[in-house]
Amino acid sequence: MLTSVIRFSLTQRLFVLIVALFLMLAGVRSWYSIPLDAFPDISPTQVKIILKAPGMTPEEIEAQITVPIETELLGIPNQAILRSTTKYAISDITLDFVEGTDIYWARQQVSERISAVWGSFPEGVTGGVAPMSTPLSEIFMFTLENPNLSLMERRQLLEWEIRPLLRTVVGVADVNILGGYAKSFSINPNPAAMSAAGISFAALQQAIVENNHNEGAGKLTIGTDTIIVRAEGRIDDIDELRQLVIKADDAKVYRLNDLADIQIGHLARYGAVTKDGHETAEGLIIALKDANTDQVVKNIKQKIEQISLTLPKGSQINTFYDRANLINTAIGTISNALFEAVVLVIVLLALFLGNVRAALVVSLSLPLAALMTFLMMDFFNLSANLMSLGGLVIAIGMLVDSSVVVVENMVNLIATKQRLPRLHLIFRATKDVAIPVVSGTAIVMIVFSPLLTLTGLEGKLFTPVAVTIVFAMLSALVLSLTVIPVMASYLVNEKAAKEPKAIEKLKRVYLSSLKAIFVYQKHFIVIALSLLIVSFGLFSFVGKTFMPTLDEGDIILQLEKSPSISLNASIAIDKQIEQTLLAQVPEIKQIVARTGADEIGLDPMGLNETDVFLELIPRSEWRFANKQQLIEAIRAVLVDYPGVNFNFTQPIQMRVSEMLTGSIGDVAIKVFGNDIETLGNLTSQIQQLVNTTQGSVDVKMSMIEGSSFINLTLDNEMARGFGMSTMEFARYLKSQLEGVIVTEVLQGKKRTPVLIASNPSSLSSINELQNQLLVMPDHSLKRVTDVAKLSYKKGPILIEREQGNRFSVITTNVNGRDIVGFVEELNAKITNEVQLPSGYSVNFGGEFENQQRATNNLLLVIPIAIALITLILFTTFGSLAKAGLILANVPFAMMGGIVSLYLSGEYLSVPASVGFIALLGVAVLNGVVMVSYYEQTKHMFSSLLERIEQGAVRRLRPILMTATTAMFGLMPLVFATGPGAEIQKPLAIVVIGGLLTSTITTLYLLPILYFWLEKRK
Amino acid sequence: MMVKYGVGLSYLIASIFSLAQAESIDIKSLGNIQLSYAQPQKVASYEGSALPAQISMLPGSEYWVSTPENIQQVSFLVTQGQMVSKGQAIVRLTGPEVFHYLAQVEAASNLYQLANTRYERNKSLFKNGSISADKWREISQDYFASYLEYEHMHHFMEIVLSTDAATDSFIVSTPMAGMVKFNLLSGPYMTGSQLFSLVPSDSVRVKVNVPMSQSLSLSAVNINQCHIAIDSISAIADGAFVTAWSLPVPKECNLLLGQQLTVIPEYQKSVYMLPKNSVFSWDQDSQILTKTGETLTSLTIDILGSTPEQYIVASDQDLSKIEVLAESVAAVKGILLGLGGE
Repeated sequence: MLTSVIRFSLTQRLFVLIVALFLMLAGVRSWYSIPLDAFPDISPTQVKIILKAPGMTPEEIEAQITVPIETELLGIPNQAILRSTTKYAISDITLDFVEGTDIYWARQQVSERISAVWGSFPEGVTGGVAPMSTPLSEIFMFTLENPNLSLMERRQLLEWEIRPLLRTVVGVADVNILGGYAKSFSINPNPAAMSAAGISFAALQQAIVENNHNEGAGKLTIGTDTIIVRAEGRIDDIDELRQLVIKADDAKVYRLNDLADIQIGHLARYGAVTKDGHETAEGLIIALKDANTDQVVKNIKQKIEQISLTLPKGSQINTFYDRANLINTAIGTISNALFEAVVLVIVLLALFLGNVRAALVVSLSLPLAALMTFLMMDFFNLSANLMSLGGLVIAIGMLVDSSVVVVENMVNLIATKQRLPRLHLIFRATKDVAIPVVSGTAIVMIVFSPLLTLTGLEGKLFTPVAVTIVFAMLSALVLSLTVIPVMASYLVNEKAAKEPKAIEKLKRVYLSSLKAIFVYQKHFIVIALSLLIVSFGLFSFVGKTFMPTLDEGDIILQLEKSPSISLNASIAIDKQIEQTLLAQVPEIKQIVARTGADEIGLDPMGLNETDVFLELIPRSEWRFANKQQLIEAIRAVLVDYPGVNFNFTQPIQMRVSEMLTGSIGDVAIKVFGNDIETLGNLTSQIQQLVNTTQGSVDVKMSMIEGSSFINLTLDNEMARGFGMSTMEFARYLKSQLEGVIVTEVLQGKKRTPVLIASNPSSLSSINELQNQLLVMPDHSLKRVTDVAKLSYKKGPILIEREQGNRFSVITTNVNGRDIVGFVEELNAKITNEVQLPSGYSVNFGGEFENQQRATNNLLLVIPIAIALITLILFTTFGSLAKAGLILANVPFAMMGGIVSLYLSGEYLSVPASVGFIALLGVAVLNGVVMVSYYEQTKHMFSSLLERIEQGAVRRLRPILMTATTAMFGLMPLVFATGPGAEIQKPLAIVVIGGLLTSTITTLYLLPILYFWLEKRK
Repeated sequence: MMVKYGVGLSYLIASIFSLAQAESIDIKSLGNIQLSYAQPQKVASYEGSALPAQISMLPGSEYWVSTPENIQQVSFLVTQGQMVSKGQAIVRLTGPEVFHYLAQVEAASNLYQLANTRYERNKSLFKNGSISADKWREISQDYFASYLEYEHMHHFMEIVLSTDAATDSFIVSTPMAGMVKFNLLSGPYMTGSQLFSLVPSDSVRVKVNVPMSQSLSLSAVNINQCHIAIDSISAIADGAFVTAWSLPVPKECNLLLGQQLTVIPEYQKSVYMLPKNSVFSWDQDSQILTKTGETLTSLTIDILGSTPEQYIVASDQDLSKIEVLAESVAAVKGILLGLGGE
């Protein structure tokens, strides 16, 4: 079949060129149409449920909301893990489904289950299934600046003007509004007036709700017409609200205005946003899962330009996070690497082939293969990102291998000056190497196939790499047997057959060195094996981690303050830190800090927690050489703010960590159990052990205990005498402290909640709370202290659950040693020193969990890949011994990888592991090139040694070409510095180091081993 | 989100125990945290939480006027609650019974004149023994009976300003100055029905139920812009409350009798005013950080009330001469909790 393809290509050259041109154009089109993003979509099929229960404590929410939902959700099929975090006023439940589960199906299942239990929830619970987004969905953030507008006006503008317009952008899942004041019509009841009027709190609430209502009554037929009749009572503005009749009897009409003070107020604040030390309001745009991020951001920017024209004078939409920047930088980094790799490879080809025309023909396979890869990526909905394009860069060196082999054979054949038409020679040359070329490509594809079996984050990241490599290799293979021979028929001539002098000289040097080695065979073998053993010894000194940290360019500073801090006090500290940072670190362009929870509840932080986004000036203007030095400068500022915990992260890194384990840190030690106090004690004990374990840094424990509550217990004897129930009492208290939304006033597209709430400044001490007046159901007036007893209670700040079980967690980063060893040591300590009560258990998670999973996956799949390669080698050479001979090159390739990792200081990570996998293929390929030639020339030489030496010399050029093109193709990744480079760097280092040693062993060790093998016969 | 990770629990517990005995922090250790101090302001009185109250009249101060006869029509000539002067026309009583009443008054007057003449004439006869003791007793009884009957009717007629036989009506005036309070009946006013009452203006007071614990220091009540001093506080408790009466309600306060309202009590007690930002909660106490030299020391205080910007606090210590941390208090609390660093 291969012969037919080659024959057809060479007989229909114009057709082949037209098809190639067509594919090129289609590839260009695909490049512009495939979704662009910084990273592949790494999220599992995940459904998040966010429920807000204002005023409720974590334990109450857990019992009344979280547990009922979890119980329902546990019945859904295909689920992977169910987690929840319950905090004051919020329940955040996350359900991960197994890979491949349809997100729409999953959301429907969850929605149905929630509907089933919704009726059992306490009054006032709001929320539901969160928007269909991923941790990478926060793609665009901005603040609305206008010195002439109040914070409430800015928020109104964001909420009712900007948000609806931005939501029309295709791919936008939601727009989260943060900061400012959410406008409300606040009703502050006058207990004395209500008591005098004989109106209870419940009656007041009911009257407001029932009267703010429009309803269709039906149709009235008048003669031949039908006219719709409706009952109208909806309140249109605050004045109508004030005039609302609450009670009317024969003599008296009580309007709301008579019973309460009605003002424009705001909803209780759960968070705030500050910019450069001043409060502001923020919009955060969340993209839909699977949206084309780059395109969505472009559309958002266009829409914002349109919106800006309609905003009040002086308004400015100030963007402080734009994912497009990261995409452009990451894609730019990888595109540069790609370009540099292509240039390096072409230069190498020109040097090795010594002929521009031949080099041009081989080089043609690079852009053509890349464009065909884009075409396939488009067809299979694979986005262009750091990983998929990284795969292309990795493949660059290997892409030319097929073409190199084909063209090199053509050149050699043409050099024989046979009296045959050139087209015929090209056909023969191509046909001769077709099978080894296909075998080599198949080996490379098999080598990368284990990556397709990776699961979790590593699977999401490296599957695109493997797929792209497979696409590229397939393209290169097809091109090498079709377009390349055609182009060679036009461009390669007899001049190209002449070998460059440098190569001839190199061959001479190589031959003499090979002869010398053959004299000292045993010494060479001993040295090689010794180095191999030493390198494997070095392996234990190489640090191990799951994944290198990706530099996203931006910095997020996380602040944590006293747990019971008020919002205002929290913001005050934030402002201080922001202003100091701006003054002392000129690299910071602007600071936008988000304190507390967001509107939708996707990020339910406490009031003591702040995420500070630092927008930086261009790197060229920094005083520092790298980001780490900048972080050190920021750290130096922050250490002068004792009393505030701080941590550095990045926008995507932060969300990914939360998504993967719900915990941030290399190792997360989860303690499962039911009793909060016992969990607290165990966590504390384990934390001590973590602290004393070598390598632990940034040890943090979840503060599950430590929250204080004021309990107001209704004095039943006293309260019942007045007809007061606990529910009514609680509702009344809620209206005084939190505020109760009773209805909404619709004003065009604006919805203003009507809130029953006391004046915030009137209740700011225990004394005032106790003396707060209550209108009893019998309309008498009592103070809170008359009907309820006040006590203090300690309780959990948050309750975390996994698979329906409570747990607390200690997280730690591991510094200066490998994580696996750390976990083993810690596990032993916990087993020996911590007495776990019945029903309690300890589990290890965090990045360690991912690393273990990745290792287990690879340990299962790599042997299978090796077995497949062995099978191919056996099929090619018909000898298991020769297959083994070629595979013997693999440990020496690994040796180079390990040594290069050690010398570079890089850790063994998933990318480095992928590098080792890649080495498998390249190392084997070199061996195949060498041994296949020995086998082909078996009958051409009488002496075994001469056959080996001449064969090695003949194969020097292709081996060096394939090795150096692969090495130099990866070189740009080693030196790339932009965001995204760090994830490919360990891979490139391993492959380059491995190729170096495997090339040496292919050139010197393999001939010796082949000699021994053949001599034995 | 950095949610859940914070201070170690053990550290937290240790800190709580240590702070219970008042913790001190070296100001130099506070780094770049912005610090500013406030001097507590000593005040002689403070406003407490709102209390329910009613504009009421002192018990027993109400002067009632009743109808002498069944009245067919009652027309009040002033408005309910109006302050009236003595002798001011207040109500027109109309109906046949009014005419009957006038006739009764006239008859009683004549009878009294007759009985008086007879009594005076027989007084000397009785002294001379001309008439028997029984006869004199009969004459005297007749005289005093008619006298009492006449005086009873005469007293009411003293406040009758005018009569109009043509319309069978008379106009009643006020016997004294004060606030008029009609007794509005849906049915007829029968003989002896209370027609209206008059409340002396100095009897209109604010009646407020004060928690016993604070009653002794209650000095005044504030209603909007109106400040009214307390006149008396009952020495008998009603549950946990005692009743306090203010001085008469000034006219300019525009408060109406019977009005239910909430008042802001003013307590006469030496307390301190502090910025709200200077107070933090620790365990179950409210605390402040006082500055002594280069050291901040925690001090427990008792919050009695608040204004929008300040707390009203009591303390065992004299706070008037010390400085209190009023900025970054939450950050200092973070230090006490063991927070800080990466």
